[in-house]
Amino acid sequence: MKINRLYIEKTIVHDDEINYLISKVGIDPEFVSDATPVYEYINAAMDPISRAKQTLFITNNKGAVIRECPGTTNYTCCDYTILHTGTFCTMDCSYCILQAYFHPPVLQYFAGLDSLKNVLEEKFKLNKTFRIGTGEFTDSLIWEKISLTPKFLVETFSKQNTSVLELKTKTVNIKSVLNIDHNGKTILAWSLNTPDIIHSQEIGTASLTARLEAAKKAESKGYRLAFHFDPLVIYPDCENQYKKVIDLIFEYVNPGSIVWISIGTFRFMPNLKQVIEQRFADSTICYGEFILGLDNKMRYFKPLRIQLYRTLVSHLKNYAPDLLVYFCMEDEEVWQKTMGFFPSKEGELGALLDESASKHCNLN
Amino acid sequence: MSERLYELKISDVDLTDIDLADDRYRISHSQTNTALLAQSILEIGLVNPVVLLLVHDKHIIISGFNRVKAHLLNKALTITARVINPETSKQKAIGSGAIKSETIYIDYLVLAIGAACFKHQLSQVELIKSLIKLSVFMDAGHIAHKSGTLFNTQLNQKYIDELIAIGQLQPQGLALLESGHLSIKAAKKLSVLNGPDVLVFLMLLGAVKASTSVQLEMILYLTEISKRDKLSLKSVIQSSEIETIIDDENIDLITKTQQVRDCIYQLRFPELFKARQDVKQKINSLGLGRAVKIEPPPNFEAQQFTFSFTAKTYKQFVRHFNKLTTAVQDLKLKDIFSA
Ligand code: SF4
Repeated sequence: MKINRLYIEKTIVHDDEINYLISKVGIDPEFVSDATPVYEYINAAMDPISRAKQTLFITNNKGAVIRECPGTTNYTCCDYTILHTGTFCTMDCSYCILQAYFHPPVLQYFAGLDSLKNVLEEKFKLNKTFRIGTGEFTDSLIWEKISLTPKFLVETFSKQNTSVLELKTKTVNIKSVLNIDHNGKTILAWSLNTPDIIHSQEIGTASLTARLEAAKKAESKGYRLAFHFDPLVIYPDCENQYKKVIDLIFEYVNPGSIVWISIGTFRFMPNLKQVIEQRFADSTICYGEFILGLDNKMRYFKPLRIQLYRTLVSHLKNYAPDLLVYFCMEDEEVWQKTMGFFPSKEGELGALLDESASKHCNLN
Repeated sequence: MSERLYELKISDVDLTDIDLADDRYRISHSQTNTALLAQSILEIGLVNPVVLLLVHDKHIIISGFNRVKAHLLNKALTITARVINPETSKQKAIGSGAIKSETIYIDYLVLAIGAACFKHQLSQVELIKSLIKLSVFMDAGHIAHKSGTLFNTQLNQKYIDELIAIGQLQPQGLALLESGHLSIKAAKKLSVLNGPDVLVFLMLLGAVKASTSVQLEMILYLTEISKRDKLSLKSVIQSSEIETIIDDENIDLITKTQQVRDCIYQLRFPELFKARQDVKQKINSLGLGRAVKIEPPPNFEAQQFTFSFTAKTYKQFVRHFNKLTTAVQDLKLKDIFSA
């Protein structure tokens, strides 16, 4: 969705980063002392979520700039580190958890490249492998066309050898980072889905082939790649459709460039269902066989998850036997029945991912 | 409505002069036992006169439908009534500046509602009927404002709006509400659906007798199945076992309700239903009886099964324990775990 209203917190310093951003948005900004007028404007809409997607608020990050992914008990977590560069998204996926996560959701851009630099340098000093991503509360590259942040982050990571940056996206916005020296320390990652799901549920995102074209372009510039099949949606003939997506991946890129592929079926907080029903009346995505999971999220009935995972994992392994494929938030039974092993010890999955990152990105 | 626009005059009215077919002011359809009422009137007389409105040369009933019926049963010729004469009422209305006929009608309506409230607390159906009649002349906000006077209780505008919407389900919907086949919560869900879907649900819920939560479950799951399969609700029902179960006259209402519920659940969650049935069958085939229980994990998400039995005596304990020990040798038990 196109930005049609721009708010800026008065205290924000108008440095190169912010002047560049404002000039690119091309809308006269409204200066505010705090977020109250932004919330009021968004909440006054019939559909606050849609309005929030068109209202950009440039602000300072009042919370943690960097933190560990909270994960959940009962399901295995990958020990990811989240770097907060902003919240929410201009694209409009029916299943997007962010719709129900923030009250109201606000499209925030966190100003201050310096603060990002400071926290990252602290992490780098620890001489430990961190997999750091910006795509948990937003899409990593939605602002790439109008912001200096992606380029800044890629350059910052290129100057160290212990950690990797993962930029996860459904866009093809990689122009500003394509020709810079990334030193192999940035993984460009795409969330993938079948053309049916992209067309019907991922409104405003790039097509499957456009995403893979972008991945191919990134690979040609030496970037390491990752793919995320998340959320997998179960629908008639989905197994074949997902297999075709896998076929397509390997038509576009080499298995050796892929650091990891994650897979996870659609899961959602129960209150998201109402949002989807209201905002996406034609979507049938919540009418699968969902049960309440042990983390109080709705998940597909386990045998259905296992069946789809088995198909995908074996198809992926046919192309790339050594490729690291992992589950996002699954339990022992799913791992065992699908992969034949379970990273049971605390940090074991994280260690596997670190190892793959080290191998592909030449970490110390 | 601050000043009454009508005058009531007590008189004995010939029962043949009452138009029994005109029930425009009828609020209550309570299942009063007319025979008992007739008997009571014979013994102690009519305590509370009926209220009639003279229309041309006939009277129509504003309050007292059952009392008139009881008099007819007693083969009485007349009934004591408080009669409103529209001519004098009209004069009064003109005098007060309120000459619109609906203003007078509202006053009669309020009288009918007041009389019903006086007899007993209005049932929800009676309340809905009253609100629908009133809503022709007043919006929900106005009714809410006057609700204390009208109904002896304060109603908020949102609730009034909801009840008026439920009122659009009539006549079948209100009949089911009255008979207890449809709960207010379920009716509220139906009131936002389109006409053909409402009729399908009314037919379904009329054929079973389900608790509120089961009614809501049936509505939710069937709506989701219809959206998921992109089929009309009617087609969902017709293309499934549901119709056969409903039409089966040889099963009692409780069994029918359970079978319809299971059938809907199976349509909504086919794999989960199948898994539950399989495990149930395997557990039953172990022949552990009722005393020893095996509970699979809820929805099979976790992996822990629960085995339990209780014993009052040592002998009982040994018996149940031995049953379980025997089951350990049974491959079907192993099978349950690998399901
Ligand atoms: S791209 Fe990601 S963040 Fe954006 S709407 Fe879709 S799911 Fe949400």
